[in-house]
Amino acid sequence: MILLLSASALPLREAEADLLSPPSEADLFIQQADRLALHEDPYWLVLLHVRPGLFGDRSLIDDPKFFLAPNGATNPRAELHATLRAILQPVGEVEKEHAGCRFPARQAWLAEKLEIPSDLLALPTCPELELILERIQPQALSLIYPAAYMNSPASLFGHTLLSIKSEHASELLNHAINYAALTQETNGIVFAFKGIFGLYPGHYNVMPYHRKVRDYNDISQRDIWEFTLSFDKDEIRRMMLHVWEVAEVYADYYFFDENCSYQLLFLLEAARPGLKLVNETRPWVIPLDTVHLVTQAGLVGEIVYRPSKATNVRHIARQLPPDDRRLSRELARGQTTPAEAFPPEETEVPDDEVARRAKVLDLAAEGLQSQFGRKKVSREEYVPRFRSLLLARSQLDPPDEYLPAVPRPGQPDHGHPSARLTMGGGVDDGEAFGEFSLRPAYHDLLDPETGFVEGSEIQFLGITARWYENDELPELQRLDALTIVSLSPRDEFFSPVSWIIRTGIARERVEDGDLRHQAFLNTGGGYVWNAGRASMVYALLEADVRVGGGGADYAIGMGASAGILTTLSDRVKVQAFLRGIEYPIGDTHTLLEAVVRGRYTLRYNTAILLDLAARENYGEATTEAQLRLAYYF
Amino acid sequence: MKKLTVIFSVLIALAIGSHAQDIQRNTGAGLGYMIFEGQDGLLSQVLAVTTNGTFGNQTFAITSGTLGASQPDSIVQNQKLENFVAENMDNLAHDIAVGSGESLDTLVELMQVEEASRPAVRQTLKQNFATIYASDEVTHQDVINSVNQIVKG
Repeated sequence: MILLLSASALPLREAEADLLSPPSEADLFIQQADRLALHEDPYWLVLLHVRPGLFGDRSLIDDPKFFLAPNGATNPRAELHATLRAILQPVGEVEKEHAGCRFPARQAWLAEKLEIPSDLLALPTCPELELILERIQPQALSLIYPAAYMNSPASLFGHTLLSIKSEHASELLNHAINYAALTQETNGIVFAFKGIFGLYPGHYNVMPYHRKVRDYNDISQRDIWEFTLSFDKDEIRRMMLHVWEVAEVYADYYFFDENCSYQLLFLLEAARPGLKLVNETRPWVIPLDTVHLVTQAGLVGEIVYRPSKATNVRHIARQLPPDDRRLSRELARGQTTPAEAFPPEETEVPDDEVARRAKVLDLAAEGLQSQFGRKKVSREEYVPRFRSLLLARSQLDPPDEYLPAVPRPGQPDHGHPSARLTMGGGVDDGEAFGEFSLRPAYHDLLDPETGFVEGSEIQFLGITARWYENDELPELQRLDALTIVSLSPRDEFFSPVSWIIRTGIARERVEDGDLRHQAFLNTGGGYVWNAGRASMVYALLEADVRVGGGGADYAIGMGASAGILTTLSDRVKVQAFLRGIEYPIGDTHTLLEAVVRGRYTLRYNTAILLDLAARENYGEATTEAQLRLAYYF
Repeated sequence: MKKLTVIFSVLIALAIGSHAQDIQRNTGAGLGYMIFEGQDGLLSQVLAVTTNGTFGNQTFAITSGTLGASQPDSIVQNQKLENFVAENMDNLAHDIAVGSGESLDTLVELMQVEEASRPAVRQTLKQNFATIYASDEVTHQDVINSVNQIVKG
């Protein structure tokens, strides 16, 4: 009877207690947090990765696991309340599942801001987190920028990641923190589409730095720049706590804005409360801009250059005469063996001959390794050949400094900013015009090449307006939706196919000499060779499709172009080319053009551009000359 | 659908991320083995690792060189050495043949060779290239064993 009574009375008592008891510790801290408006504190928004959006503030993390409140992604205040309740909860059976272990950075910050005494905080033991902090022992932090590599669509703009210096002296034993979209996609168009529209989940992950070095330097043949950042050990530790919070969640990856570079900025802001980087970005974020951003924020100390295997191969090749380069290639291809190339001799080999042989074998071994990295040779061929080259090399002791260090190219942070504005004017077919253009990204073949890949051009959404003297108003001259030019020279060890793709809308002179808008798609492929140290010559086969402009309203053509691109000095670069396209389908006609373009650099962010062209289109010859001032920002 | 994508990509991440551990369980990494990680036999690796913890722990575990919290430092050091040599077989072979380079420096550091004797050790390893890389089938464990013998013997 008594049992029954108490059983029925219990729920009632509990309900009364809820109503009557004084507010809990959590409630008190929540009230205090509200008084301080902690949910509006910039650092809290950093920890939640909140950005203002079209429909109000929203976290860029898309994984519901990252939030304790059901509406945490859009309501930082609700998330703060839920977090406070969770970290003040007693530790349950599985300690590592307690909020204090899941969100150690949030806990540390809230405890500091609200002065929560440590006896009130549930302090679970988090063996995995503690192990990581103990093992990683952060000493210093670097921003890593693997430069762009043209032939891979995934790397068009380069990439950024972070590297935490370990207690070891070797930089290869650092820990890399990387944010990347996870995909096995090899189709560049699918990759680009999905990347642009956020269809890949992006993840933060941590891995040994030597693995990233191998991925970039050895496999993708990309030079790496390391920018040491001025964060102290406590700041890096604070960042590590936050990395732990985001390591298991995903955020949709957007190629242009919510990409690797953008997401890493949150980590840097988490390291140092008060640091403002994310808000300084444009609507689009390019890895190179991140480099400029941290440089301007005064965070960068020492800058280290790590040349790729391909750069190293080209560097050794430059130290050797053509005959020796050919010998290296034969060795790398297995057409001759080290014993045949350098038969044993009775007399001692002089030092300079030892140095020469060492260079030939270095070039052969590194060239072979680089070819294997690009899957040009099978593993069955590669291993015995690589081993025999190295065996021969191990028997040579060339003098120190037999090979100079790879010269350091211009630093990416010294390169031009990626957006460009030009203003200028000229004469087209005897008619004067003024022109204005804006290009949000990224690099024109003629832009100053410091920090960019030589012979590369990537431009997005360039808009050009032109005002002819007889026009009432300026008109759209060009909309260059996408332009990619990849001119990669061929040599003993590399035989890349160069290619171009250009698409957009252009105002052109058509049949009757009238200016009409046409949509165009122009592609091509061909070969490029170095001509001396500062020039490259190229020859491309091209296809061109045009839609609009009257007549049949379309034209499909084939043709070729050949040209030279030469750097005359630090300030001057010139491109000259001939191009001919025959359009047998649609509006049948022939286009022939001879073009000279030049750039003279005034400052790192200012240049003068000159364009001269002679054209024959639809049987009508015209000339055009234009002078522009370019400003990079 | 979104959930499926996430699960799938985490599986891929696991496969790539756990490669270093797989090779230790198998026969070892040879020359030319690690260059294309995660490209061969992807499916079998996915199956092998799905029971092996969560994404974050997995990647953290590799970088810290261990999954168990109670391992003594010497074992952690050994695992770092094994991971490093397994994943850098080709560059290390190159550096040993030349007698210098970052991979060789890292090896010597991980083997805890005293600073003063490092130049001599690098030279000795170079002279023993033929012994260390005795066949095309040499694995990272063979390399570690021979290097150990040469350095300590």
